Amino acid sequence: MQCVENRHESVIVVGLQGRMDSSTARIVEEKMISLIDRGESHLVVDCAQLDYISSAGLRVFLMAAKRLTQARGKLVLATMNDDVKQVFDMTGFSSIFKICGSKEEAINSYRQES
Amino acid sequence: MTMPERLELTIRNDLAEIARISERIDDFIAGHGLPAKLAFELNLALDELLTNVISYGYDDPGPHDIEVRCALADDVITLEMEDDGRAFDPFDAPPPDLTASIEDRSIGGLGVHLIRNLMTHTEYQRRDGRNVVILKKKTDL
Repeated sequence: MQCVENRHESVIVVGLQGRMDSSTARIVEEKMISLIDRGESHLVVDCAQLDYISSAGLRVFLMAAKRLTQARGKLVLATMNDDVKQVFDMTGFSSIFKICGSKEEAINSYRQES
Repeated sequence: MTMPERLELTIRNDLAEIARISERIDDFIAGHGLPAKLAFELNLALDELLTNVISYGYDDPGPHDIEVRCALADDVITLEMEDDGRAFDPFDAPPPDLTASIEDRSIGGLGVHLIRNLMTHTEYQRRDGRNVVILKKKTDL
C-alpha cells in the first residue's frame, strides 16, 4: 500500500495505491492524522489506483471525516474502481462522502466553495 | 492442466496472510473461467472473517493455524474457514445503522454486514471445540 501526498493550492491530494485492508490501512490512517494535525482541512483522496478496500479501510475514512468535521474541514473522494465503489454503496458510505469522477473534479469542488 | 474443484489452504494468524490467500482465490476463480468480480466478493468476505479472528479471536498471543477451504460444485462456491479461537458466532450481531450521519456513524458491524450482502448463504458451527464458518455464493448471479 502506497500513499502519496500532493498539494494543489489549498487542497491536499492523497493518492492511494494497492490494497487497503486490515494489515495496510494503518499506513493511510497515519498519513491522514498527520495532515489533519498540521491543520490541513481541504483533503482529496484519489482512489484511481486503489485496487481493494475492506471495512478496515472504511474505518480510516470515517475517522478522518469525523476529525475533519470537528475542524470545519472536509474529505472528498475521487475515481473509485467498481469494486471499491461497491463496498461504499453496500455500507451506505456513498451517501456520507462526496465521491467525484475525477481528481480534477474533486479539487475543483473546493474552488467553487471558496 | 485443469483447475481442481477444491482449494485447501492453511494460514497463520497474521493479517499479512490475507493478501497472500486472496491471490490463491483469484487464481482458483480465474482458473474456472469465473469473473474477477466474484473473486473480489469472495475475498472481501473471507478478509472480513479472517481479520476478526486474527485480531480478536485468541486468548493468547501465540501462533495459530486457520484452515480455509474453497470448493466449486453445481455453480456454487463454498468457502469454509476453521479456527481454534474462542467460541464466536460472527453472525450473532445486530445490523449496523447505515443511515446515520458522519458524526453518529459507527464502524462496528460493517464487516459482517458486507459478508451477509455478498454471500447467498452464511452459517456458523461450533464443531469439536473449533469455529467453522461456511459461506456460499452462486456463481451465476
